[in-house]
Amino acid sequence: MFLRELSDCDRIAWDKLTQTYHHGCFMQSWAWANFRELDGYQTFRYGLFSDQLIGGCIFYFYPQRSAANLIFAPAAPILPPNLETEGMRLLLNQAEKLSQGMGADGGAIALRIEPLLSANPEWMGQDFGRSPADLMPSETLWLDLQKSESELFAEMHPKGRYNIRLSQRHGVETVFTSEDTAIPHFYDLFYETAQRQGFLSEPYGFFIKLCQNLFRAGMAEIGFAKYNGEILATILLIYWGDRCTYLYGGRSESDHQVMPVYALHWAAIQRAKQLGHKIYDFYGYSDDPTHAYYKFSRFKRQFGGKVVKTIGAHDYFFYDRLADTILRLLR
Amino acid sequence: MATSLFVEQHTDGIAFYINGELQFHSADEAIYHEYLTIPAIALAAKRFPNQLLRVIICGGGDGLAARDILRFPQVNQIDLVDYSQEVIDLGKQDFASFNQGSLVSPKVAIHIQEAFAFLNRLVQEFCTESIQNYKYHAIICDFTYPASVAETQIYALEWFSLLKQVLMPSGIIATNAVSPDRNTLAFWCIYQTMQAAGLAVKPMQLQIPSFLNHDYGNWGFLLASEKAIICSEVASLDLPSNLRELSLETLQTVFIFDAAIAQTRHSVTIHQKDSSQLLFYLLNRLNISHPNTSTVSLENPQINFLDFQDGPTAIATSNHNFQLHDPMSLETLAQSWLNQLESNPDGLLIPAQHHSHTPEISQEWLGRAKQLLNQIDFPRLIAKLLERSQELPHEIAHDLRELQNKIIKFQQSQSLNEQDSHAISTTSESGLSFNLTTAKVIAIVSLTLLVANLAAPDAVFAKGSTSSSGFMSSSDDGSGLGFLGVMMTVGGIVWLINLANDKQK
Repeated sequence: MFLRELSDCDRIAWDKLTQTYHHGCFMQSWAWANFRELDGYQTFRYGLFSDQLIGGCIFYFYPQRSAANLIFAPAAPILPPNLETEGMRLLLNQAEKLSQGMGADGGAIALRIEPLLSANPEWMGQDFGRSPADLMPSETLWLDLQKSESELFAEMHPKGRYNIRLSQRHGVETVFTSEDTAIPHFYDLFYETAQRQGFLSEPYGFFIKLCQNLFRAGMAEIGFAKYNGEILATILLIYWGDRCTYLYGGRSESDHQVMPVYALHWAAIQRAKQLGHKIYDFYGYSDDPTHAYYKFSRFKRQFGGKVVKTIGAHDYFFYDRLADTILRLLR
Repeated sequence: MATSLFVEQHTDGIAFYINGELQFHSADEAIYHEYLTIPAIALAAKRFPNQLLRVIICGGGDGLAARDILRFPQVNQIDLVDYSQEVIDLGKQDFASFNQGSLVSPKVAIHIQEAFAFLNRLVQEFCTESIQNYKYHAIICDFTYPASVAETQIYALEWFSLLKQVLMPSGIIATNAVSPDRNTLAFWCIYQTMQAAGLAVKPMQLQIPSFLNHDYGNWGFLLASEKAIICSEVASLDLPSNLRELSLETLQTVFIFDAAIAQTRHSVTIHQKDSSQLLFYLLNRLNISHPNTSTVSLENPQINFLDFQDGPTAIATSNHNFQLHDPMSLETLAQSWLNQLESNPDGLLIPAQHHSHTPEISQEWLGRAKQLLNQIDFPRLIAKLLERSQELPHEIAHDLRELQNKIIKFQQSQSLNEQDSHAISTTSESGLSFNLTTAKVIAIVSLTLLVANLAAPDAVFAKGSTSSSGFMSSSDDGSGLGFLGVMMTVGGIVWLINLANDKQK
């Protein structure tokens, strides 16, 4: 097994690997990395090869002036079965090399990985410690789309079923699109919701870059719920591998009695199933009333599904780099 | 570098975005482009009567600035320098009805290049050519909003010095800037940088509805020349007859600023090419609330910059060679923290490092300094530091060796008698004096970890929480005290030793 930097020629093989890998994720897709580059990140794409591509990692790095920085690897690394330890060693060596050569006057002091695993793997060893922040929600809610629609419907909470039926009786319509023209309509509702709920919202430009990139790669759609011709709710869905992920959403205050959000998610679930995805991921869940996700989680729970926990992000410190930084500051 | 271009269709026209930043909305772009170009070209026409004018537009690939410059029959040649062929293509095709085909005018020569590189090359060529033939009567800078250190170079001292070299004596420079009310310090930083380059500068501000809708605030421009621009000169400009937004009357109002905003121009440092001064101001906004009125009152005193000639402020130019004063470098931050180590440990701040970083996020992270430190294997780090002890001042190396010995002794005593660990800890606590080097190391490691975590917020941040696991939400580890407050209260060196001990378990 050897490691080399991936080129544009490797894009198809890399995307196929991350789509079929059991713990693969859109954040390791080629298009997502391109999007992050537009947002100012540098990306470093490495593949593990034997006869063919068998693993690897896209590292993300946000360049800045200070010598303190991190290399990120959300939903990564991707390691070949039975060669995990050796693959990780190759990737760690590469990350450490990268840490030394980054930025005008700085580097990285640690690598932050976040494999989507339910237990700490052996290959992580003692040198990885739990990160103070995650790259993705480490607790989420999954619907199993391999079940029939009637099973999914039956397994919902009664309130969820009631609200979906209510939206149907009111004639709420749903539509899904990957046209750029949908972006401003999506953002208007997203922004309105963020303001109302008091959570951090990304600027409009973030969504322009995200949607433009992922739409062209066939990876994302925006869904709308309409009532009497007016858009009342919206969601942004990411399609990757066996998973459809609900990444962002928003709803208007008007006509909420027609339950447009329920109509929209149910339509999205049906659509994801028809497209062949096996999991509908609500992307973030918590039963803890003090958690920022709690309010959203109560809504998500109405659709049934199971809570899935992953080990979260872990940091590996490059102690030579850290010592170098501390020494410069102590002098 | 890849660029995101987005044209949004509206019932009343189009809106154009570069990398997510609004460039223009066709419904009100005339406000922006007329104020950016018309005063500068009208001044140049007045200062160079009976001459054919040479103008350079830096940026402006949409062709809208060129359209307004072409309103002046005196303008004979426009060099338009834009790095993006894609934007130029849009300007020639999709935007042709808005820019009236300006980009295919025989007077316009298009150069696909970075403006800095283009002008540098021009200056080099001046060495062998007749300089006067190549200088410009007016320079119009129409750039996108800067979002990185690299992108702030076109507001640096070096940039404005370069502009002066290609500008005719008493020629005019007009540049777009940032919002004077949303990014007050950044706006004055650009202003003072131009002054430091030897230009007499007049600040301008406008309300552009589409910009206000994007929460960009009022928009700022700067009009400059080596030769001072005076009130009577502006009052007597000859303007083209077919303008949509600008008139002599309205022009004179855009130089008026609220006094509270205007006075902050004395508190900024200038921006140089390789520093992050301007980005620092952009990320760390100074919010000055001011009533949005157009009348002068005691509650809302105003200053008209047309009424006087401002000179560069001492503070703005005092750090001309300030390699060590880059406000976003870890060295500067560490120096600031260490200076406060004994004076005001709980008053420490950490400036924003990233455009999606908010003061609330800073505060939350500061309260979690102890949690961050728990990640570090201190015995390993100290051993690494001591491997290179010859690079350290003798006293610091000595203190670090002492610290290492104490940690080793403590660990040994712990392993001898696990049962009595609490008693040993207490004994150690009473027997150890607070060590300043230890405090410095902890402060510097904490700062390094904070900056590293704050510099690159991730997807979970963006979802409205610093952590999906929720443990960041708990407040049982001293959150809200400020990091050094936490450090002092847990007993300095003993805490560090306990950390070391925990790592061994």
